Amino acid sequence: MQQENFENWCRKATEQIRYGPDRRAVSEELMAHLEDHRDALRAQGLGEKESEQHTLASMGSAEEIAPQLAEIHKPWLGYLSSLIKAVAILTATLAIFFCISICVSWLHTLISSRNFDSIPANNGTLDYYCHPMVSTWSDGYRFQISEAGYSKQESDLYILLEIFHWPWMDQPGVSDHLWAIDSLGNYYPSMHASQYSDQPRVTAQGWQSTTCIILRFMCIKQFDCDAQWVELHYDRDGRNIVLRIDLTGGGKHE
Amino acid sequence: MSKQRKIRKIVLYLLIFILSAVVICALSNAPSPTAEAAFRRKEKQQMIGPAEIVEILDFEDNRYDHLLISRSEYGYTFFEWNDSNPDDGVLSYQPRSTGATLYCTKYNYEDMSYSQGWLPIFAFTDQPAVSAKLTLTTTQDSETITYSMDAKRSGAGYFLFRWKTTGLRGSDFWLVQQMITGEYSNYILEGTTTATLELYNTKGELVETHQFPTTQ
Repeated sequence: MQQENFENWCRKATEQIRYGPDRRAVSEELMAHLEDHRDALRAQGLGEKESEQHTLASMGSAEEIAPQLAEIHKPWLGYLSSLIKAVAILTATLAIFFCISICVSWLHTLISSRNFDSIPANNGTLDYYCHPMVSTWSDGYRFQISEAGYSKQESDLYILLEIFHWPWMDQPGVSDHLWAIDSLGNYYPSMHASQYSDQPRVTAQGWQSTTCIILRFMCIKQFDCDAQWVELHYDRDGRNIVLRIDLTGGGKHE
Repeated sequence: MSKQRKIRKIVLYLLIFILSAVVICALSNAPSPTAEAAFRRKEKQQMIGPAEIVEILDFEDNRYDHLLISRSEYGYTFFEWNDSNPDDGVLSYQPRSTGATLYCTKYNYEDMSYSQGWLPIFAFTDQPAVSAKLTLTTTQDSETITYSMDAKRSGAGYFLFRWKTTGLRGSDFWLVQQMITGEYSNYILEGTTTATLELYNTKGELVETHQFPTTQ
C-alpha cells in the first residue's frame, strides 16, 4: 500500500516528461529519495503510516512538481540520441555485412581452382607447363604469376597473372601496358604500343575477378619457345615491375 | 539521464556512424566526392603518378566539360571528365620525350566536327620559349598535306595548338592522333605523319626545333 502511494506520486510527478528513458530515470530517482526519507523518519521512531504521510507531505504536490520537472528534462536531446543510436546501429550492421560478404567472396576465390582451362583461346593441351610463383608489390597491388605454359603449334605463351589488392582499391588497369622480353633478346610490345595482332606482342586473353583478386590470362603471341626465361615488365611513370618466368623446369600439361 | 551523459552517448554513436559509413563507402566503391579525388583514384588504379596538377581547363562545347593537366618526373597525365560524373572521366598518360612532349586527347572525329571543330594539341617543354609553331605533315598515297598552327606559351607553361578538324583529308585526323599518343587504332591506317615543333624566344628567334615521332 505504502509502496503504491509512492509509485503513484512518482508517476504523477513525472508524467509530463516526454522522453521515456528520462521519465523512468527521474521516477526511479524520486522513488529512491522517498524511500530514504521514509526510512530516516522510521529510524526516528515514527510509525509506518506516519512516516509515509510525512514523506509525501514534505515532497509537496506531485501535480505542481510535474511541469517543473518537464521543463528541466526537455525531450530533444533524448530524441536526438535515440535517432543517432538507430542510425549508428543500422550503418554498423551494414558495414559488418559488407565485411562478411567480402571475406566470403575472398575465401571462395582462394579455395576455388583457377587454371588454364579458363583461357578462352586455349584448348587445354600445352607442350610446356610450369608454376613459376614469382611475385612483386607495387602501388598496393601484389602481382603474382602462378602458372605459365605454351603450345608449340600456336607458339603462344600463356601466363596466369594474379593481382591481389585491398578491398577498398579499384582493380588495376595495367594489362594493356605490360610488355615482355625473353632470354634470346626478343621483344614483345604491349597491346597499347603494338598495331597489328599478327605480330609478336603481349595480349590479355580474358579475366576473372572478385573483390580482392583479379586473374588476368595473359598471352605472349609468337613466343620463341627456345627461350629459357621471359620477363614481364610494367614501367610506366617510374614504376619498375619485373616478373621473370623461368622456363627451364616444368613439363607437359594435359 | 544527465545532459552530459546524453551528449557523451551522442558523440559515441556519431563516431560509430562515421566509422561504419567510411567502411561502407570504401568497400562499395562509392562515388568520389570531388573531381580531384576521382583523378587521384584513376591515377592509382592506372598505377601512375601521383602527379602535380598544373591546370584545369574548361571545354564547354566538348565531349567532356573539363580537362585536368598534371605532370610528374616521368610524364604528363590528362584527366577529362563531366560535371555529372567525374568517376566516368578518362585518364591518359604521355611519357616525357627528350626536349619536348606532344599530347592530344583521343576524341572521336564526329565529336570534334559537331562541337568545337578543333583538336587541342598540347606541347610541353622546359625551354624558356614564349611562342611556338607546330607543323603536321601527313602523307597518304604519295600525297603530302601540311597543317601549320601557332601558339603562345600559357601561364602554366605549355603551348595549346588548335588544329582545325573541319574538312580534313581521309584518315589524317586518326593518323595525327596515333602519332602523337602512340596508341594505335583498332583498324589499320595507311599513311605516315610527322610533326615539327619550333620554339621561339621573346625576340622571335628560333630557339629549338623538335621532330616527332622521336623514335620510329
